Amino acid sequence: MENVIQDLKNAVKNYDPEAAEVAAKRVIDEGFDPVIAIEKGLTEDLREIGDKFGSGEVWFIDLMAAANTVQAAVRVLEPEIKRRGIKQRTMGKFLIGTVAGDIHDIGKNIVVLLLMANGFEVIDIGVEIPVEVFIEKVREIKPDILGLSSLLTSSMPEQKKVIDALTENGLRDTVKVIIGGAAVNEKWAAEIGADGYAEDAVDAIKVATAMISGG
Amino acid sequence: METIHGASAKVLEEIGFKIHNDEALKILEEAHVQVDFEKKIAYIPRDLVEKALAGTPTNFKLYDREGAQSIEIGGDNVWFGPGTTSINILDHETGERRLAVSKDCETHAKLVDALDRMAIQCTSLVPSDVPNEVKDWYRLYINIINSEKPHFTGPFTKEGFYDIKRILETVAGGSSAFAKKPRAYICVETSSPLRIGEIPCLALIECSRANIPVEIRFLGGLGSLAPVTLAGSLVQQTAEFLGTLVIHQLVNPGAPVVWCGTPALFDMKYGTPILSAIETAMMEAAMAQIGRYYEVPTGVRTLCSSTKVLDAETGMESGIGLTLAALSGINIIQGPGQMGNANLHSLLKLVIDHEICGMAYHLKNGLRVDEDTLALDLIKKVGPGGTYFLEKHTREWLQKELYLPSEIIDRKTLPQWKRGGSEDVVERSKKYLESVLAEHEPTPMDTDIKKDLDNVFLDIMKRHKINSMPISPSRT
Repeated sequence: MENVIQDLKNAVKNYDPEAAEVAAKRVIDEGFDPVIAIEKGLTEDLREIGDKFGSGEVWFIDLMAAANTVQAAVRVLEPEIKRRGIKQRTMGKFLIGTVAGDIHDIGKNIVVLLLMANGFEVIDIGVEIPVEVFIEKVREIKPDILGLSSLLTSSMPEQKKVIDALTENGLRDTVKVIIGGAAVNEKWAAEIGADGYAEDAVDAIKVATAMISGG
Repeated sequence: METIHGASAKVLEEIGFKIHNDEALKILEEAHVQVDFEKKIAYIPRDLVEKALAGTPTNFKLYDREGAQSIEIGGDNVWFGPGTTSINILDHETGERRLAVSKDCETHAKLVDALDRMAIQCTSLVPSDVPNEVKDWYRLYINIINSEKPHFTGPFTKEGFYDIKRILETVAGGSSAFAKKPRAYICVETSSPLRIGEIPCLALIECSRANIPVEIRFLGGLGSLAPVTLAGSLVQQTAEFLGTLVIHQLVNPGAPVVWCGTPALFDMKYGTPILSAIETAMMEAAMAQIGRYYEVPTGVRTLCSSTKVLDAETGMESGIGLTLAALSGINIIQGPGQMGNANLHSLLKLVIDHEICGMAYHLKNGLRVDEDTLALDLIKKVGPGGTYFLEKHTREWLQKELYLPSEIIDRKTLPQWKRGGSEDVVERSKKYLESVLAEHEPTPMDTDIKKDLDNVFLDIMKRHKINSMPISPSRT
């Protein structure tokens, strides 16, 4: 097992998704625990890279490449986890999307990468997400946190609409809401009744982690 | 081009060039130039000017201290060196303006040695802590022991010139070794309008004889020592260069030379010489064009902001000056680090200007269009709505295609910047400067040559009856 974990670590270090897939297949073929493989071989290193990105030591493009490598291995390992019926320990479920009227997702994607690196189970539903879809997904997935991104001032009101719809549908108490994106600020978050505001991706991790540990 | 050349030739022939050096006047007389010895004016005919131009090398090699590597001066090459001869320094630790001392010269020499885009080491500061009569050769000595890059300097006195020459030839291992592989070039300044002084002329003649490359520099001053109109000033600058060149080429045909312009504007409101004016850049660009027409290497001193503190104006003037000089295709661009109307030097400005030099090089190189850079296959692969972050092509071409600045340049988001300590450009440059100085160790000189050089140093000190200097070799 040590051996294959080292292969996974090397793949992350070299940003090599093909090598990560090969190593992930070996985990399954040789009957190792896929959850331990993910924790020891992938997420530990990704978290370190994420931290280094936060402090400016690692480039954005390297964080992207490392996360892409981790994802390639996780895609191979996930069916095996399900097959074995193992329950993964995570920091919590984080549902995230860019609101309707906005197709920007680079900032949101950085948040996704850093959340994954920090042990969150992230469900990214993409861009231009209408209010109804957010409601439907919250009902279906039961996330601990919902992240609403908006880069444009024109799409900011959509964040309010989602929060209002959560209340109308009796779901507001089931989920914490964090808003982010270039257009928004702390004041807006308070105004629309969000539980938190994240200035950037590094801040998002801090806010989300505090929410989870604070119960 | 022909208009400027014709007018300049006419100026030399009809108005003449005043030369405060009898040897130069005699050399001209022997070449059948009409000389008025009483007025010290030579009326130099056009055919002699053109003969000198035809024999002037289009380019030459400037070697490093060891004579191993060289840079080609001329053609399309652009090289940078720091600004020269400031008396004051903007102390990077205290932020105060004060007189420069020997220790500053040493730190500056090490910094220039460390910065990749500084191809030439210049005597940028004048140390205030040594007697006047030894300042010129002494600051060159400090540069030489701390840097293996090619050197640029200028004498302050007649005696100083011979000491500089002796130092340079000692470092090369003798005068013929230096003549074969010049490791330095020397400043010869005209005294506008239409005049050259005793010491510059002496340096001109001696350097030509010894094959030490010279820079013939024009300072001008639009509206003060040259016409306020740019074309008129250009004619005078060209005439002064050509007159000086004729003497230089008569002494030793084919000796290497750089035509240098430092066309200052004279600010009529405050009575100050300004090297950061847009007209300076325009004059430099025009000189570069005439230089190409003459097929002689060109140089400038630019980038000298007029500011006394590092602020937005410093960056604006440096950015514009440097970029335009590089795009004009001037071969040697001096100026980085200099400010305060060319009388104040800053190590922090030097590291900031070093970034501008990188961007100017990048700009000058332009963009490459071929199958790889057009990336049609990649555009197809990524398709509408995709991203290029994870593509191998992005990673592969990133370093080649983009200028990647140092941490001096702020490209962070606001939160990233806040987490990094909310630093402004001065603070970031200070950090960068400190790390460069801590990491860089200049290559030491060959021990035998260093011993010879130190003996020359001690010998000159003895002649001046000076017992100690802040930086000096230990007596053996």
